[in-house]
Amino acid sequence: MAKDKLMLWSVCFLAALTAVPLLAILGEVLLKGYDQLSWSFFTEPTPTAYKAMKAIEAGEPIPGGIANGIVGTMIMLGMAVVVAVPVGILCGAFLAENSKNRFAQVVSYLTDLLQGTPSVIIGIITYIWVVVPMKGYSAIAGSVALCIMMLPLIIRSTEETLKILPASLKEAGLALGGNKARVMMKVQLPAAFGGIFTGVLLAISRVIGETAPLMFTALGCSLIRFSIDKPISAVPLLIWEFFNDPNLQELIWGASLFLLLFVLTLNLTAKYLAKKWNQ
Amino acid sequence: MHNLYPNIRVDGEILLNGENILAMEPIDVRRRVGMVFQRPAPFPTMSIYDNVLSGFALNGIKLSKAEKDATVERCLRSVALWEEVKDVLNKKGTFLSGGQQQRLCIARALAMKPDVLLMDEPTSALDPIATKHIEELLLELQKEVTILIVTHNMGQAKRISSKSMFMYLGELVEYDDTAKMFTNPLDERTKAYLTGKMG
Repeated sequence: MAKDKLMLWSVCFLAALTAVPLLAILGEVLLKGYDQLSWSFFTEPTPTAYKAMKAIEAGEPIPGGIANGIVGTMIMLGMAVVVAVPVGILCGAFLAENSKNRFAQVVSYLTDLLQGTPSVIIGIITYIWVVVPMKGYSAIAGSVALCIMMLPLIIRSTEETLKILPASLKEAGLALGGNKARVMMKVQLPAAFGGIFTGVLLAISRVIGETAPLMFTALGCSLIRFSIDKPISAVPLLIWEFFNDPNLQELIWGASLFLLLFVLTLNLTAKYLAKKWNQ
Repeated sequence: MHNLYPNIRVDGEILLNGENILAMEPIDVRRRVGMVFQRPAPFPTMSIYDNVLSGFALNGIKLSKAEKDATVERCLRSVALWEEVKDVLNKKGTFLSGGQQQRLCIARALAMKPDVLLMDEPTSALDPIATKHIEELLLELQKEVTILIVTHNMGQAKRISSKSMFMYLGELVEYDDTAKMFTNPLDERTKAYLTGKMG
């Protein structure tokens, strides 16, 4: 009896301990960053080092914000999603339907490998494939890198969700005379929508904070820019730039808080939707 | 659909209007033979209306709105479900009771006007009242379409069928009019099964 209680208390204590780093990070970023969040923070581009220096000397808050990073992140994410989602879903559907096929098993293994590949290597490869032929850094290159990183997550969540659908659904569709493609598109994929959507949200929250691949592809830019064939900014890139400039270091906390809140919102939405769709 | 499962094999011939279905393209067979499974499986993401019409969607057949409305009403009336769901056709079918879901699946199969309707223990997942309703329905439907039911419920076989087949360990043992087979079976194994000596 006493041993049971001891086990219970140790497990509870260790569980609480694992929450400590998470809460510490959240708390630190929240405390240091919340007073930076303002309308101008989200709508103005990063200030020049000179302006920042002058503001610090005068004891004023640093002007400007991370609008260039937000716009860049959204553009690159948008382009990456547009390509990664259809390709990932179709690939996941293929893997779910052909698990005994030799080719499918190879693809499955390669997907796992891709998921484990360090993001900096994906950045370097995208540099060789896109930046060099295009003779310049660009949002396109950045979105290619992000797309490659999102693919394994979307493929896996599609495959897993399709696999746990009851076989009776597919059989009912086939029994009505549908060919495999139509049964997949009209019966199986709609039924798997919840799990697939959750997977897409999680893939987005994973790549939104990626910095290394963007250093080799998007490079960064201090202007708010909408063209996709030139260097562009991104929020995690900005955090790195702020860190390297002694005058801009204050802004790290606001940018970090923005990223954390975005990821938290995405994760909570994914969790809520997963719960709702499972009922 | 036996080709979906690798450890099932088929011997002999199965003739549909003189053609051996084992030699036909599976999709052609499935279009001519409707199928209702043991567990009611209405498509969960489609409304009742779309469920009834799903056979057409899955075969790439386009219908006009008038044709769609007419088909839905005809099929739901023939399974005695129309009055119960005519005001909620746009809702998903999963809120219906088990018996109603099974009737929806029968309506879905009938929409394609099959030559034969196959049913795999259609009432084994249902309560006795729903079973009774389905059996009454099948007695009516017999007039429109040939129905082939697999059942382990001898009472049901006796109640609703005009001819019966007894299969044992994958072999067709006896085939005769129901009344004759249940009172005077020809094969020893049939006799043993009907009297409960063999389960």
